[in-house]
Amino acid sequence: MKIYEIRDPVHGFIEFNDWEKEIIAHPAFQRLRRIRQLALTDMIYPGAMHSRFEHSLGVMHLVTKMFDSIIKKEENKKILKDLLNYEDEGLKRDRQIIRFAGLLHDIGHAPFSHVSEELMPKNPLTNKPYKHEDYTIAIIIGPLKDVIEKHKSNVNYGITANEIADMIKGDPKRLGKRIFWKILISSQLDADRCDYLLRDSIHLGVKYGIYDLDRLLVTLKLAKEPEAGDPFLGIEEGGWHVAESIVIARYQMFTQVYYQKTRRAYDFMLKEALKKNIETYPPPDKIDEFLKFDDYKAWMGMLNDKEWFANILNRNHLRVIYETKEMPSKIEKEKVEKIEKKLSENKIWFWKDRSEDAKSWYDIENEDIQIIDSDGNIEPLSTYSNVVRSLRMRYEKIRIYVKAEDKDKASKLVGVEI
Amino acid sequence: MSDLLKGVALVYTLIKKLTEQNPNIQIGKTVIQKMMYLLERERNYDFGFSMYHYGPYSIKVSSYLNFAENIGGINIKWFPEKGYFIEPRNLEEIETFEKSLDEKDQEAIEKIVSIYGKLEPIAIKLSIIATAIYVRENFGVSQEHELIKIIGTLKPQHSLDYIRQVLQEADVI
Repeated sequence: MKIYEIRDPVHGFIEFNDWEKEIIAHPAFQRLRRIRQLALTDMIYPGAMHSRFEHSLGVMHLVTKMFDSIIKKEENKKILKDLLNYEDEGLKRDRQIIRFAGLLHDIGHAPFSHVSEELMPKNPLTNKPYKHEDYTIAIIIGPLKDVIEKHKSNVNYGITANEIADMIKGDPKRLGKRIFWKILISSQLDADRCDYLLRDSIHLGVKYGIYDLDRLLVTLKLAKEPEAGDPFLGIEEGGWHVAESIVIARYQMFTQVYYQKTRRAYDFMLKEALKKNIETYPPPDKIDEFLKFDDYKAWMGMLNDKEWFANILNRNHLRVIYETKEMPSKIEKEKVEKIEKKLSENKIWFWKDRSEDAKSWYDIENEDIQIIDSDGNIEPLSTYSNVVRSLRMRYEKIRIYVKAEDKDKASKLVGVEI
Repeated sequence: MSDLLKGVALVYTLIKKLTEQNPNIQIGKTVIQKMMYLLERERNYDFGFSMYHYGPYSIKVSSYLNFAENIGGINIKWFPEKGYFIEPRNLEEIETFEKSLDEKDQEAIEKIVSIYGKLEPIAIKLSIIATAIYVRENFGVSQEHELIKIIGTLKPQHSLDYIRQVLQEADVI
């Protein structure tokens, strides 16, 4: 297969073959150029203009590096063989499936990424809202099916669109033991978060998410989890400091970027504007309709809004009148309640934002990363690292926001000096 | 009550009742994840479980456990070769949370604990049971033999006979 290269701000050059090139050129994938990775974060960090397009290329690249690093080591291959009866045959095919899964894992994102997920309709079968993963699956087995299955290179692989969708949703029916490689798409050390920490840092111009990726790649190690005996991905003992730096990077990025107070205000305002003006997205079974939605279409749909979107355009964002410390005391929590009561009594609109509502978007509540020594003994990273132990996401900050025009009145009412 | 506090109340009460029923049991993170999955089905909660390579897993449940540990209601310890051990620490606090749950929540927890809390080895069996139920309900696998075969490929450390026996014991098949 012919190999192409594209320059990437995080990984240097990213290589892709002509099969992948056709998928990348498909309009469903090109749409990701118009889905911003971090919504309106550029209102605070002007460099945050990057899209799901480059992140998806980055995840494909990183997932491959992780795969290659894992299977290069005999001890990892032994674990694969012992625990999953894995053989060398088929690894080339698995590598291609996991590359596709990395490339396409975010293709179902709605405009402005996570911000507009509340506009996804309910699945009538489960009575729970659809997730972007449901749209991802629908796109892979729908509009992308032919470009995946009918490429001439597939004669040697026989890969189906369903297998790639299965890898993303974790369905083992067709993939069987090969579903193990989902570990590189969703786990404590997956390529998704390993890419976005670095990518977001570079675009925003911050150093919080930077860690030693090369060191991480050479220390990836497989082992057997002792409670239920399932295989998992950890880090060699010699690499525990890079694991520590990833945990610190996640914490710093969450506190300084993802949960930054003005960014959260814009997330809220954008979400309200989208809900008011777009209401709901088409369900995954109308995927061609859904694919018409990108940031541009959503933006145009909000232009006539005189409330939330007008305030976004005028940079007239919500203002914080009170915030607790990262781990609020009882007194601070009581103060929050008093402020809510006072604002309600005086009919002043407010929004209480709790960090827990943002944490799940960024998978900040991860399990401990496991460290594996040369004898195969396992210890959680928190037993190695005092920093990690003390960082165990003791972050429960609460903020109270009011509209900009109410800030002075609200501040006086609650007796807080801003 | 916020989703987080409700989740913590459920986790606390689950750990308390499991410990009361069998004080010698290893309640690890796998046990809590799988029991919360079974509880989610019982009460139609939405903890956002998705399929990892070894079975259903929820980031939310993980955050409930972290929070519960941070505020001092439970201890989570690690023992090499055995894994995590979670035990109640501050019973007074746990009971305060427990009282915040309504009758239906309490009954659902009691039901789950009485059915699955006696399994031995609990983590291994729960892992097989929860994975089988998730696969059957989410991926449209209705045939028994196919379900057992699929679980066998995900967990080849167990024989197909053992998987069948565990699923029969739990009335999954």
